[in-house]
Amino acid sequence: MRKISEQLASLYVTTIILVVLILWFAWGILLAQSNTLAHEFDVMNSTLAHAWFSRTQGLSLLMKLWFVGLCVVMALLAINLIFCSWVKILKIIRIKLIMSKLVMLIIHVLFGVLALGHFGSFFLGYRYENVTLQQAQSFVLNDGYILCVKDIHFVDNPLVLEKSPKELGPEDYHHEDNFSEVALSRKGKQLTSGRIYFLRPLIYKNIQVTLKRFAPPKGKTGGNPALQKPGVKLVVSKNPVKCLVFFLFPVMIVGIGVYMIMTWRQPKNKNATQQT
Amino acid sequence: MKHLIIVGYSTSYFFYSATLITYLLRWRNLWQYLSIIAVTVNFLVLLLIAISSGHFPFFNVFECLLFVTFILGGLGLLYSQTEKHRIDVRSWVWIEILFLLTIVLFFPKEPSLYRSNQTFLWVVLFHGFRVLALATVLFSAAHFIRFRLARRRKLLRNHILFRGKNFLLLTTVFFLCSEYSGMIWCQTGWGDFWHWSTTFFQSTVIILCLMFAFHIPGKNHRSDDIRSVIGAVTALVMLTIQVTKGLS
Repeated sequence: MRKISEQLASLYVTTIILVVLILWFAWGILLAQSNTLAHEFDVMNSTLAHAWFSRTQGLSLLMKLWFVGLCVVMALLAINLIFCSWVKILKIIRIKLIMSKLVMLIIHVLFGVLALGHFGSFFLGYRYENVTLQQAQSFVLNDGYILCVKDIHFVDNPLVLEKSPKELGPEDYHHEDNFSEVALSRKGKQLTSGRIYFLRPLIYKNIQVTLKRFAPPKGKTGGNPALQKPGVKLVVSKNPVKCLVFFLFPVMIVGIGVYMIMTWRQPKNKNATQQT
Repeated sequence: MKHLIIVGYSTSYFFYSATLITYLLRWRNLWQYLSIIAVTVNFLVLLLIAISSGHFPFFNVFECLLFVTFILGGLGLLYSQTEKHRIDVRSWVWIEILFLLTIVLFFPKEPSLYRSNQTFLWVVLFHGFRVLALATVLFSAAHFIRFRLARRRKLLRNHILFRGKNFLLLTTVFFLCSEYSGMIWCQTGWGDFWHWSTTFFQSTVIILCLMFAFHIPGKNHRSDDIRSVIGAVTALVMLTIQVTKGLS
């Protein structure tokens, strides 16, 4: 039993797992560049993990295999991390408290929690991708919230929306002036409202309403005046672990920085090469 | 303006080449003057790009690699030491700079095209930290290459290898700062901090390579050899990813 735990805590196992992970992501890069799998990646980006395994819009066997394989390798890394951290904790308690080793232990624990939070974000909350709405239209979320587009303010020529964003110059599109006013309500009561710009979403508790882009107007002449205005393509997402990940990530970076400062000074060596 | 940028690029290329030659010949004062000129011209080209385009100079391959050569040049000049051995860490830094400037030869030597997000703080930080990470990883790679090619490596362990490890750790900090900025960028632009895409997988591969370099077991010379090879390969991976992004 002791031998097994020593094996699971060893750095050899860590390096093997890391090599497998590098190869797994290298395979992932090849898969992501394949045109035939583009739709599969769209599904992965627009829905949560339980939908990937549904019969109706689920992923292909290859993508399922890749994702499950990734989860298995990450689980092995988690086991290795737990055993390795436990051995380090015992060493610190029994032998000697070395501050730099303690900082490194904290960094490893933070990494583990972050990876777990990241994994949780694939399953928790919800995500609606490419919600296309015109002015005065609304969209019902699955937890009873209603998202309503109150106004769309677009100062540029709507024809620029037919172009690719890469083709637009500073005179064609003014991202600081184009926005949409949206409101979130529940049970007939408006809870929040505000303007959403490109890269400036509306956040209410864990719900985020993001303006992905403006959509070309549906009706060009006559009829409903709302349809003559551009529409909006929104992403509505709720991620309960977002705050945890965004808090722990910089803490981990600071931890690595502190470790680096603590260990920066080089050990004394009489045999070092002569400097001029 | 484009002509001035090309002239500036060619001039810094010339002075970096002259620096390497005079450094290898150990013309002490001359290589120092030449390297100061090279780094200054490099900085002026970056300044010219920033003024003419109105954004920070690190959004395309040309700008990015010029920024890296500037930081590498500064580190080579101020933070490296001259050894008795002719091909030392400093020599490798100048060789790396010339290698980067040669890569730039194959790309348009002009400022990057306008993008509406180039003034967004997290986008700037994402690219800025990436460039810093690339510069420091190449500096650490210079140490690893020097260590790996030395015959009597034991003598260099505490001096060269240790320094290389320190700069690899600094690379990790910069790269993670870049990733954090990228996560905020992605969250505000697409409503999630992770995307299943080539770009995100490439970043993960870099993080895994950095983790791999720090997790090589053992404290013997064989482990040091492997550590130095992995450190140098990580730099190559980061550079390749940066260049291929520019190609796409």
